[in-house]
Amino acid sequence: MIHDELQDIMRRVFNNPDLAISDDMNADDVENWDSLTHINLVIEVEKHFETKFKNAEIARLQCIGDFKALIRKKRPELG
Amino acid sequence: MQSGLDTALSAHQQLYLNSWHFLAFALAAVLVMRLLRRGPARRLALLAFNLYFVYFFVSGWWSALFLVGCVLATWGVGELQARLEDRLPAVFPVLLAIAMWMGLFFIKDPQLLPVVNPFHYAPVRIVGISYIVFRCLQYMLDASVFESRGLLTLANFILFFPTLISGPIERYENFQAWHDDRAHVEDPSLLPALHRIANGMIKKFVLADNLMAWSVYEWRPGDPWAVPLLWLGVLLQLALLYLDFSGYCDIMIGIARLMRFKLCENFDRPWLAENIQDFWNRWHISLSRFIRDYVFTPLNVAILRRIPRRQQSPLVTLAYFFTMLLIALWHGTTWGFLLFGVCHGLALVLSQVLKTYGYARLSAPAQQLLVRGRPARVARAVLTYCFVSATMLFWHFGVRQSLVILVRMFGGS
Repeated sequence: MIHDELQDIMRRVFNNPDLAISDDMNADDVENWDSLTHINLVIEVEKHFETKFKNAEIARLQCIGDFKALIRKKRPELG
Repeated sequence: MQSGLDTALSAHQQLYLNSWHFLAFALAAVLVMRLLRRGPARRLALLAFNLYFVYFFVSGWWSALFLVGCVLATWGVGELQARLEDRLPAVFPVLLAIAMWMGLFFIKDPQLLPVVNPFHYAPVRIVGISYIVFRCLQYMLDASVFESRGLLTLANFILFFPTLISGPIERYENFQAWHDDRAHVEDPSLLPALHRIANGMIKKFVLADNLMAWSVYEWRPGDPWAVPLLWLGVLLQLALLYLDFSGYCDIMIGIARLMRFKLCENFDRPWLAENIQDFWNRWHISLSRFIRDYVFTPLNVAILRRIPRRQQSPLVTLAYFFTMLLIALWHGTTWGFLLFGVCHGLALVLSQVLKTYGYARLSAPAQQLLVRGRPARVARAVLTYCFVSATMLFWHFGVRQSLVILVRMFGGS
């Protein structure tokens, strides 16, 4: 569930409807994933999952797996 | 040229990286750290080695006391953050970061705003203080997300001798994993680390030191240098600094590896950078990442969370510019560094504008020719190299003399 929703968000942020995400995917694997789009992604994820991340947590989001783990930590009911 | 080590040595003249003294010290540290794999003995031994090294880079008792105070204050604020985080005002980390930055500027330049600068009256002389302050700031701001915290680990993190005077700026958790010998050793053999040290020695002491004679640093006002020689000297600056600084990092990364620590990389073939953003992603990577994570990202998160969408763009542009200024001023609080920051800030904004609005509007063949094609990429890399190397004049010569050199390069007198 988190996987599919995160994939939809990423497809929207990176304007790539065919993007298929995996846990070890990071900025090197996605075109245009730079420091600013990374922040856009964080903000969209926060809005969608109705949560807020601390700066220290954002600084440690290196790959998709990190995003999923943080979402699970903030919203454990989503599994 | 001022690498961290050269600066350090001018302070004490006792611990040269290519001296028998340092070799014996590093060898002892490697042997002991390889023998003591776990437990308090390993941590205490590392602290002893770190303190021995620190001794050569701190001038006087006041500076030593200040350093001890830094470690204790970092630990105290970290505990405060971790235990009372939800009860502390949201503005606390912002004020803390501003105070640390101001403190750093005041320490680095005791003549800066002397009326309000406490270090004007009691100067602190610690080589590598810029890196020490960043490690302290990182720990203070992020203590709430660390799995465990400890004063001894923190002291070793702040004072770790391979990273003390010129980085790389390591992350606390990464350091902690190696410190406690919990991290996975990918390649336990010694040869790659020794190879790395040898490479660093060649870069720093053979190539950089011998090429120095051709650099513009030898130029003095009134010297009648021929124009081609001036071009060579100016364009050699970046290559020299790369050989010197990355050579130093290679040596320290290699020594740390022998001690069973894996440090982060600081360079990724910066001569391939095709624009200024790309350059700072490849050059002094740990500094760029630190500034990105602790300045650029929080600023932009605040902008994107709180400011209406149509007003965001100019503020994000300002954030890019401000970030670049801060990187420049971190190196030194002079007009020369400020101008260096302004040049790089403008170049960064320009590269973002081109990326967002310029390239995307070109037709596919035009994109191939001007953006993606190999000749265009090589041309951009050459231009980026020349731009960075030329703007480095401002570091060494200040604004006025740099302009004199630049005018002479183009045939002026």
